[in-house]
Amino acid sequence: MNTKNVKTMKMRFLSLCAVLAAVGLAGCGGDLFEVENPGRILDSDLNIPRAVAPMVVGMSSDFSNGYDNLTFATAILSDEIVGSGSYFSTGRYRRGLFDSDDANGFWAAVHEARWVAEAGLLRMKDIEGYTFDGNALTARAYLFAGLSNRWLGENFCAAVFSQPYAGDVTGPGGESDTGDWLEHRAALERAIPVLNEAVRHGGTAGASEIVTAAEGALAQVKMGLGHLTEAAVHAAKVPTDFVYEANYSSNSGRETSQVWNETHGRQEVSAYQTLVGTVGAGDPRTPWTDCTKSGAKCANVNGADGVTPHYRQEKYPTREDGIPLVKGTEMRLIEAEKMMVVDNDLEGAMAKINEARAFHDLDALEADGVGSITGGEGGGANPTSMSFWDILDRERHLTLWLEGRRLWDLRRWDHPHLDGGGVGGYEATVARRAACMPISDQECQVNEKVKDFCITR
Amino acid sequence: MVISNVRLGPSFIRRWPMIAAAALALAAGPPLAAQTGTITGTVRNAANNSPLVEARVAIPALGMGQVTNNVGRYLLPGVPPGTHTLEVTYIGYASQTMEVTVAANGAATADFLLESDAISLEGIVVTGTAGAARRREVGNSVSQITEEVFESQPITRVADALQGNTLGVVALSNGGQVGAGSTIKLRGNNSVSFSNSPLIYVDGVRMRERGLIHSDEANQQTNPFDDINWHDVERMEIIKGAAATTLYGTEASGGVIQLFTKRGAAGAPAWSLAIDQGINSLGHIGPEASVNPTGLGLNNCNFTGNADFPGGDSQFPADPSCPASGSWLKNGHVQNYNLSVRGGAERMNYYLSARWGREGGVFDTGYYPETGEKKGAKRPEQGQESWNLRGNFAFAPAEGVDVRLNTYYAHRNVTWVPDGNNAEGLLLNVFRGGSDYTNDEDGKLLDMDITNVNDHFITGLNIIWNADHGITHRINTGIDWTRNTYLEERPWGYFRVALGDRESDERTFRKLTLDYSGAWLADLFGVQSEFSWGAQLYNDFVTGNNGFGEDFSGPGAKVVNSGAITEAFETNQRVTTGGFFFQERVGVADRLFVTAGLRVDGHSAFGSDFGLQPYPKASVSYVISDEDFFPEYLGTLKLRTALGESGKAPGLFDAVRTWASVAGDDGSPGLSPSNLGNSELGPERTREWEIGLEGSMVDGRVSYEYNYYNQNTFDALIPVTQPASQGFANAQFSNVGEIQTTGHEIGVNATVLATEQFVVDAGVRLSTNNSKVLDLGGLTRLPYGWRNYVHAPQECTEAMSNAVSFDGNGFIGQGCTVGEMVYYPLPVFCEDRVQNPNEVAAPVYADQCLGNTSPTRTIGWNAAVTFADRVTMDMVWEAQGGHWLSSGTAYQNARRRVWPTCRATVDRIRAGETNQLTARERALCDPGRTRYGMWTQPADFVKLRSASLSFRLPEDWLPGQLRAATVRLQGRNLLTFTDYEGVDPEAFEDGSAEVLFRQEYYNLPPFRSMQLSVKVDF
Repeated sequence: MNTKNVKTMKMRFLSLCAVLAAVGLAGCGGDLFEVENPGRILDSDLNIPRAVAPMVVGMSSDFSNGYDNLTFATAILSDEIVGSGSYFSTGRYRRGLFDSDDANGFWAAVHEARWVAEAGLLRMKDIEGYTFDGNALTARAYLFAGLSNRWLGENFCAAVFSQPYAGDVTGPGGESDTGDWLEHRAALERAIPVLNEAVRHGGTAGASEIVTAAEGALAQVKMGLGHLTEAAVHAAKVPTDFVYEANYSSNSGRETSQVWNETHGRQEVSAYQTLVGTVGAGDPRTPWTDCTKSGAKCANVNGADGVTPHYRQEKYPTREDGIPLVKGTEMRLIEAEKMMVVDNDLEGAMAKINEARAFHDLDALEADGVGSITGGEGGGANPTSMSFWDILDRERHLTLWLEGRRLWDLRRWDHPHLDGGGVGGYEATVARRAACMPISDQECQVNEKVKDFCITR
Repeated sequence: MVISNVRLGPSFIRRWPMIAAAALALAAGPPLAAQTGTITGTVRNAANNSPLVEARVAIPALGMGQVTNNVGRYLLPGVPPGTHTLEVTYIGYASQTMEVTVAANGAATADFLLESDAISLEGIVVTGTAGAARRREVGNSVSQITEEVFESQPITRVADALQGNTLGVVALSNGGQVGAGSTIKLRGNNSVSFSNSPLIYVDGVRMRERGLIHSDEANQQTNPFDDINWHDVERMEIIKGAAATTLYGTEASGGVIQLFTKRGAAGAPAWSLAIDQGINSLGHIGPEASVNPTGLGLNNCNFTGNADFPGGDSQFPADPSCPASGSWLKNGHVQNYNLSVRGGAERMNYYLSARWGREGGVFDTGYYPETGEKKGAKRPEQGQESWNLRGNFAFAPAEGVDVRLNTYYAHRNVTWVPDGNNAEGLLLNVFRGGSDYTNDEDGKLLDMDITNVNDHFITGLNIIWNADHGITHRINTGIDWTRNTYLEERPWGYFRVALGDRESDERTFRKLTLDYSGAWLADLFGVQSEFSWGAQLYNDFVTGNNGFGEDFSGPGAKVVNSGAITEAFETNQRVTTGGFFFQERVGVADRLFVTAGLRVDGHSAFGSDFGLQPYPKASVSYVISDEDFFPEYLGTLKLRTALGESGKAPGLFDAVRTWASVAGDDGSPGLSPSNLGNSELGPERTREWEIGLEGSMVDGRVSYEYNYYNQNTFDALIPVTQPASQGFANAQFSNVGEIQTTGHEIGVNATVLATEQFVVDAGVRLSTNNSKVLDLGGLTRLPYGWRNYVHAPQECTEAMSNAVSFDGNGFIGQGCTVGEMVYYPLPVFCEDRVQNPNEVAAPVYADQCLGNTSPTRTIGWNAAVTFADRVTMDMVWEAQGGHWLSSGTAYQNARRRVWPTCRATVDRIRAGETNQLTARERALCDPGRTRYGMWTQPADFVKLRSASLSFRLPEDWLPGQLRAATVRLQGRNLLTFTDYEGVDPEAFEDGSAEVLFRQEYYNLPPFRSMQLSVKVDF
């Protein structure tokens, strides 16, 4: 064999090696194509007892993360505050407009908060080594399941519960979660058994705060369902000074309060020409700053629309301030409403209202009659009427100001404001304002059963 | 496959010793042999007379050849006496022949001036072809931009060269902040969810094709593509669709751009120095001066009135923080200095370059107030400073082996002002006059510091081994490494954040390329065969840390941990793409070429149930002009067609169910649902069919190209929102969509006139891209950004058919037949438009989809006139159109009663005459009624992209060692023609962010540049 032949063979051998290397490179699959993206946690790694605590914190976090946005939006959509900023959406809410496209983020947030709690409970039950019964973590998870269903039932026009994804275990609602349209009451009804479970497990665990919050939440949902007597029984178990809040913090951007961001960090809403702005800055339940006054220490005198004077809310003066979810003063108002509706006891009802006012060192009020909710001129609550229902309208408005509850009151009372009422000097552009958030456009696109229930622009 | 720098075939490598000998002969002078002669001369670019390095000069009949040295000179020794046909070829230029008579022991001279011709059939291309291939062999279109464009046009970043100069490319400037990246798309959009940007290679090394850290305050991001020194670029090759990019596999459906940088050549060091001095500037901003005397408060921020506006403009009152010049604008000084040298010896050559430049922005940042920590000091100037170094080396360690090492380092420091959709944006607050966030003291915003520093390193090693028996191996490995440092600080005492804050974000982007390919050339019974194979591995790694601190204790220089509250974030992602390919090209009679290939890919992000992905391709090229029946007067003509597939990978972890780590309950660890997961997730695939032709006539003075393409993206990755009622709220990518894009591309270049004194060249290029969403997997429409949607086809409704276009510009579905399917482009803008424009009534609206927000047609045309081979005038115009742009600026200002064209309507509203206004007037200018849709208009425009006048100094004017000198006066974006009524049809709310949507929202328009440039060779 001569040198040239050896060289040729060597070349062919090397060429063959090159081809084999190419094929081998593609074929070695596995490790070569391992993805690296630390930070995410695989679902399959969570079935251990030590994962329960962060799961429950996650429930709290998801709840808070959605609830401040709801509070901000419904404050504008109702009559709590006037949209004075540059957002496209807040201009719509101010005019009383809210359709399925607007609802996408809110619908997703409430269902995520509900699902992480409900599905988390299912997972917790099956985790080997975790003591489910009588555990404070279990009780808190039930509380969030109840509060998120209350959030859904009070603020949305309808409820929908679907089976989870193919391959998953049966969902939290079992086979009754069919994906069909349901009246919003279905969510309130769904809240009751889980809140009862929160009371039971919390009681066993000695978690009195959870128990009291669950009792308060039961009062809220039962009042929403019209079961006022039962509601008052639960309300009575909540002291006037009790407050249970959605938590916010400056620890991370996700944890900060959106209500603070939109009023102190920006100037997107204002109390200008609202009930709160009219009542004045003296009410301890609804503090605000007139930024147009010198020395007010505001970044700007006007809202981001450049026109509306910025009356900045001071109920949440820092981004860490929690939004109350259950509080004793509301319980007294629930008791007052029950006394009026069920017992026709005006004096007893006013006593309950004044009990709540006294907690804030406010003077007692005296009703000049029962009356009905009349609403203010041009919209909102009647600022001066002393009939019981107008007083209750104002007291709930001021007591629950910027807590994500006002739209529900307008809706359940069929408040006159919904009939074309304006806010902050802006007239509504529709004869009938949106009283609730519809099923989201995204739900309608992928859930055949509800597609006819969406509201398009 | 993607080995760069393969300009000449294997025979070139084998001739290395001969080349070196010739180079030495050039220096030594005497002929190599008695009884023969020599031919010497130069090869230069006809457009600017610059030397063409490594042009091939040959006498085919004698089998003799040579390449030009580093100053464009060649020497052919040992030429037998007689008359010979000398042929010169050079990539991107039309070949030339010349009859030369050589006497025994004589020396003949033959100088060549080559005309640029990017579609010469004999030209070599390497992108998407599995090694080097002659254009006649390639069945798909390949565009080239030659060095001439970089030499003759006012380029300040490589992306500038893509505007108006080639087919099928849309390059948008986006905004007027110096240092901001541009948007580049080839043949429009074909992906809903992922980048539509092309892959970018530099000398065979894949680099990051997307922007770096996005500034939420400037709403811009730098693009590493702009780090490349345009003086170093020898040419760019662009392949645009899946039919051409199949061999690049997954990630390549947006096309591929490959840059080739300059290389050395044998000879003594040849130096080149280029100096640019100039300005960036802006003209009048917004509606015409008769209604807008202050230019939305930007041109004139201290306006005290004129005849039409005695007492000043109430919408834009004088700003107490207005710079002393009376304007927020100024002329930004531009300066660039580039020095390069190339040379070499027998077995080694080099190209070295260094550049330093500073480009001033057009904002006058003025001075800090006379109170506060920095009282009276000058604020940092908006703009960028950059420098870079390159070393390209080639050597031949053994016969048949060619090794090239290309190394580049760039440093860029960019300073921005807050801009765009930002409550602290300078333009937002200036344009809103008194209705802003600053109480009309807009200078306060400039206390915020925004800087962006890029350190960019690219190095690549190419080895080509020409083994025996026609086998060639190519190995290409390299790294693209970029460290991007973004700093943003609101100082202590800042008006909106009194205690200040600081963000420090540092990320490193690294791409590794490992690429092997081989080819076996054979002649099988008269049929040419080239079998190619190869394997590639790309590793993409992004790591970084982002710190945020707020609430400082006092004044002074800060670090993140000066804040009382701090947050930290970390990014650490790695993705690997790998695959292999086989390709066979068969050539018959050197005129009919059939190519078939298969690429197979794996990818980190594919689902666990999803295996390797095959991407097939096939193409035919037929040089019909080589047939006897083809009329000679028609010159050359190649017909071609190609069919191929490529893909786009899903994102990291899209395939698996994951939870995110979040904090809750004041800093306790928590879990939140992140991604639902889809084990069957795979890439979206784009299949493209392309048919075209290219040729030349009139002795190569006219060249032309035509392409028609039809892309179908199937299994498109769509973020399918799961029913939230199931609980997992986040959308999950699924392979359910289908998108079609079709278009035509026509280009003609011609030497219109060629006399002794005058040469007139002209060209025109027309490209269209029409996208159509065919399926969204059952979804109706998905929102993408600001009222931009991906919209599934829908049946025409009566309401749609009967709806009104208030401005006569139409809308999608207008006049459709009820029941017929209406299709929408990708993406489409939809919003409210008034339906009762002429009624004296409140406006009634209908949601209408207007059109694509990205240009769907581009026309570029150029003309160059050269006089006496010394003076050249060159102009490039570009028109883009077929798209709509929403002016968020006009809409938001109308809401605040500060839009100049609304003055009359607003006055009537203030006078209580609202009820006497027409619905059109209210829909446009009534603050409570106006809509974005009313301020959305066709954004067609024509811009004079570049104009230059150059003068090459006569050689006898040049002192001493100077070989050549050219002086050039040049400008960019000098004129704009448009009917668009917003700020600028090219402005974009979110800079170079990698998104489908476009909207103008308080952005600075692209500026114009004027430069005086001097280039000296010595």
